[in-house]
Amino acid sequence: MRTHPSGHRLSLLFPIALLAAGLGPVAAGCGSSDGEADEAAASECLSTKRYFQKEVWSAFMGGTCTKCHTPDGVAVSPEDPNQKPARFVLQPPSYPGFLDANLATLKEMASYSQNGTPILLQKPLGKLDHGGKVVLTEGSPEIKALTELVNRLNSGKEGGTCADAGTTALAGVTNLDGATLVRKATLDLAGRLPTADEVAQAATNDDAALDAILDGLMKEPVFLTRIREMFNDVYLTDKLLGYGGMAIDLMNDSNYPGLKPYKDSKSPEYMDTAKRRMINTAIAREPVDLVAYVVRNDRPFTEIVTAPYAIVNPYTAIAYGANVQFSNPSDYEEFKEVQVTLGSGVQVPHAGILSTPSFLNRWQTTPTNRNRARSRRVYSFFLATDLLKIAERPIDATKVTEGDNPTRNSFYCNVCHKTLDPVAGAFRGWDDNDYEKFTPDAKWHDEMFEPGFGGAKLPPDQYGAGVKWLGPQLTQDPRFYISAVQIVYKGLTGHEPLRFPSDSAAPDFADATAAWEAQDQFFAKTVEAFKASNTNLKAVVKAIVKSPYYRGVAPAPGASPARMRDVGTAKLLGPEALDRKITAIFGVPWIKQWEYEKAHSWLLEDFELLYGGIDSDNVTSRLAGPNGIASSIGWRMATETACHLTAWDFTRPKEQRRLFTVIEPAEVPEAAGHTVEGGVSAIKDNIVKLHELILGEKLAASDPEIERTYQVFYGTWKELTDAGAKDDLYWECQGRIDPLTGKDLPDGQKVTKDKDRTIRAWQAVVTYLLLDYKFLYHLANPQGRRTWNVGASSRSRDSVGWPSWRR
Amino acid sequence: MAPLTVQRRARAANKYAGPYFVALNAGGGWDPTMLTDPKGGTINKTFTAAATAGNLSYAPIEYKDDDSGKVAYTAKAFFEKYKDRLLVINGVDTTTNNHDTGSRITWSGMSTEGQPALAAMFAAQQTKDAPIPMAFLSNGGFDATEGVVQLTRSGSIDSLRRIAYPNVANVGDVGSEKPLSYFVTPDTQSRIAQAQAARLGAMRDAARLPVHAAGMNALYLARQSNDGLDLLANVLAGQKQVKNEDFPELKDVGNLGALQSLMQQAQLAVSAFTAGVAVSANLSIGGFDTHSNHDDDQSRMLIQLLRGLSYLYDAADAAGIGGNLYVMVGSDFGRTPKYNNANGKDHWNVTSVMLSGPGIAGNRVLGQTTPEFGLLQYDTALNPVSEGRHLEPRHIHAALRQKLGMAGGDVDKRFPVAGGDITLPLG
Repeated sequence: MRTHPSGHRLSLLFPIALLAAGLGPVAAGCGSSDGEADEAAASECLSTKRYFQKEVWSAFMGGTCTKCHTPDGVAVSPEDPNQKPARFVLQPPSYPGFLDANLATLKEMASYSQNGTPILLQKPLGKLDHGGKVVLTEGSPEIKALTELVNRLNSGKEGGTCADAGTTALAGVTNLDGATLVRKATLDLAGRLPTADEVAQAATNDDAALDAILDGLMKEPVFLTRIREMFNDVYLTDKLLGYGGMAIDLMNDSNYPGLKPYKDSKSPEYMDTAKRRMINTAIAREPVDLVAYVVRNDRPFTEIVTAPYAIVNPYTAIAYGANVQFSNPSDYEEFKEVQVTLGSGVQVPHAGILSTPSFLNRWQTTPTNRNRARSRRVYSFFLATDLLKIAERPIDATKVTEGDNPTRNSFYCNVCHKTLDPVAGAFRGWDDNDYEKFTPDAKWHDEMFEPGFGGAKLPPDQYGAGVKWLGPQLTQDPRFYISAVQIVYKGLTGHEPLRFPSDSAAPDFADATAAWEAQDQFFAKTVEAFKASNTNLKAVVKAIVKSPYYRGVAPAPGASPARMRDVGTAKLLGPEALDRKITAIFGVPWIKQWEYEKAHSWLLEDFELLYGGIDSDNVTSRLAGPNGIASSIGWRMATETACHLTAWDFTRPKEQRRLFTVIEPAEVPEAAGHTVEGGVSAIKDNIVKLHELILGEKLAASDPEIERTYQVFYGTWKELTDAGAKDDLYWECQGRIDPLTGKDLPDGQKVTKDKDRTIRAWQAVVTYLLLDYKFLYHLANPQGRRTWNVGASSRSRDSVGWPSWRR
Repeated sequence: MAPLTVQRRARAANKYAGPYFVALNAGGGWDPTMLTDPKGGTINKTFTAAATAGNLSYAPIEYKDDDSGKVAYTAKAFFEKYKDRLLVINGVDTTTNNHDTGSRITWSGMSTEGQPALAAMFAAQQTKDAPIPMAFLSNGGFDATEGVVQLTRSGSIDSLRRIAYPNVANVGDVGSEKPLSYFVTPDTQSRIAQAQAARLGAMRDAARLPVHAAGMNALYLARQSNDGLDLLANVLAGQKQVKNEDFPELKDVGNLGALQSLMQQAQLAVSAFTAGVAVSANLSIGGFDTHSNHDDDQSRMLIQLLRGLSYLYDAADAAGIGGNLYVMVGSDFGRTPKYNNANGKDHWNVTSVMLSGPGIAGNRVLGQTTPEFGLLQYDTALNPVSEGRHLEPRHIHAALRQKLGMAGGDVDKRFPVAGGDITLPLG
């Protein structure tokens, strides 16, 4: 016998033979021959999870039981303090993996019975003093479905060999071929074009070959930059990069004496602004640098919250007073693992990100907040859980203050605080005012819910290092892995995970649910692969890149839009990604032309926010799609870039050019009123090359799109020729300066004239292509055309020194 | 797949002529008892008696520079000057003390997720037949659009001037006697645009996945509305970005950075309205979450809020649009009537709202609170009764939607707000 938490004496049922009144034996799953109870699923074979989703949750439980049995529901958090809270707690769809979590809850609840019948089947009928009275009627389809579910759960039998809903929903989706995918992935993950060898390997569409390419891409520096970007979009610690000194200014040099000279405006170290800025960057970015460090070294991802060390590079080593040697004392990317000791002599209780000064200073607390804000972030960052979503019911503040200690005693408050406060307590010892200061024996607040996590209490012998205890606890929660997968998913696809459809009466409910199920299952399988790889985040990246969510280009035959709603990507490149793409294709980013040596990027500075980027402070979410302003920035980028680089490309020998590899300025479409056949042919051949290089599409010279682009060339050439335009190129568009160095070209190499008016026509073509959807967005190639690399790898740009300002 | 529902429109720039809407957000939860619902005694240590301006009561707060003792601004100066245009609504129940939910309910009228901000809905309605580049300009705060309109983040005046003329090399000479230099000729620019639109249209028509179709549709629509930025540039020509030092009373006064930011947000919003390229704007000033050191920090923030609002009114009046401008000022929620141990005040679900605009009768106060800063209940005509309902943001939004001409429109129907059980007499 088991005793239900309510106090009822219970017997376990395995399986149920006779069920609620009016019901006969029930099929234990598809494949059963009973042929009666599973009326709703008679024509469809359903796994238990899918049966729960379709026949129970969507049919009634999600709209009926959740009125009272969610964490903030009146059954779970009763207003009357004398009323015992219900143990039957259903998580809302906003809870990661809510279906699995609720099924697990139901499995446990189904095992409790009274008088030979599961309590779960009696309460909704209004029996056993059910607070919600009668919510289901005997003999109704709902109680039959619930009975079937209870029977399945208690019998332990699955739904037979049912076809998997998630698999079937995505079956038939057309994916990018390997060669096209490799261009998309290479630009996305490594910020460069693929090499000819990579394209050839990928063109085999061999999975192992694709894996090998992706493994290679994930060893490149830009990949780590992408990882940092993805995780900063969540942690928002880049706020501390502010004015190049915010992270340092927030630190107390009594905790970190190494920073003293960098906080003293009269010291020579303070005046070394470049080094000071690097130190500030290293402190601010320690959380995302730790993620990058873990990923780069194929370490378990769990270390982001469990690492019993801090990582320092030459700059944080100064800040933290770490006595370590570096091969290159100016290499930001050289990291060492150390133990940090504060100025007080107290050793920092390292717990990955949780104990970094950046996390503690970015997400501060107050004497009354008592780490609750940090707790909320822990749930959000590492468990994909928005605690605020469980407390949206109306409150009456006047009643909140009727009793003592409302955060614990008022049901209005404790609905959140019973979850929030234990994790807040795990941060005990971190100072309320001096945020990165740690005092192991600091007292905590006894009136709050006890420090802990998920029902586990922080052991007294861990009071002096609560976050070290908390980190491993987080990694025991399934949501930790879902969170990591969803962060990467959003980072790569630009999509938020689908919401579970809430309107079961909507005409597309079935298809929308199928789409959600497919994605839910994809996440589950990716989590499995993630765990099987010893939680190497690269496994997640590979799974997503190879999935229809990243590489889908056409729907399954006959599939409705609702069923395909998250397949494929159409993500407007953010400012960082667009900047990298321009550099990858042209060898030069879009920079302020009068500042070659400093190489300021328009996209990463003046237009970063307007083009949809974030400042990690006031603007914390990226623009989902273009607006009029972003569109205009695109125009400015296209016109300036084409102006700066067209004539310059012609200054170089043909074999060294990127853009005009089969054409010379003297080749014109017409002469003396007659078509120059060779000229037109050469022009179109070069247009074909430009489409390949800039847009990643391989087209025949006879393709209508090549003709459309040719008309841009021809129309411009004709306009200028007929108008008798002067020979001089506009000053800013002349090929006078090497944009890689900012230095003047030799006079003989300069291109300042355009007597044949072709350079300006080519400038128009380049402008036209830079404005293209396929350039401004992650390559989707929706028409399914193949593409391959035609240019040299842009890896060589590293040799000209661009990355220094890209950090 | 189903054909895309793209409304094809002429590329000629649309110019919007009003009315305009500004949502001014005091982020973090302000203290109405230090503003328009003044309560001294144990509730506030900063003053003992409320002051009045016309029919309005207010807390007589001010902000002085610590070093010089110079008074930067006072509540008295604000309320005396603007009382006739201000409708104060006190005793509003946000029903939450949760920041996210509070912001959502204050600015959308509803606590449930998936609701757009009123500013977004108004912009969507006003531009549904004639899109404009920056219909909804946001500087932060609650700015959910739920897809009804494109949101535009604000930028500096200098940046906007540069992209307003994407084909002009010497943008600094726009508006001067100097000839403009173009990267490509205007005819070529037009040729490129037409070819691009045709190509994008062809790709969009061939797109087979909803994600692709939506992405192309978004770019298509964005390009339809990017004309007209030159209108903004014309308005901005010759303008300098406003700074605190432009005002003698603010010059060299410390800790007023938020005010300068707020004035710059207001300057750009008024410029965008005047140029006819924006309908609504979110202005945002944070720092009101005063769990500690409440009196100093809250009063400093409130004074900056009032001074920034003053700048907005004056700039709009100077631009000739003040009479066509709706302004709603609010916050996540209010703050407790008690101080905590850190001399701060925590979250409280009782708040106030300030409204102004054409057809909104000023110099009035609607709603009230108990002496302990508690809520009252009202009948449908807003008379206090013992058994009624609290005044909530949904009632304000329902009344505002009426005033803004939104009630019954497409957006109103799509995102209904249930506020009919109290009728607020806005004017």
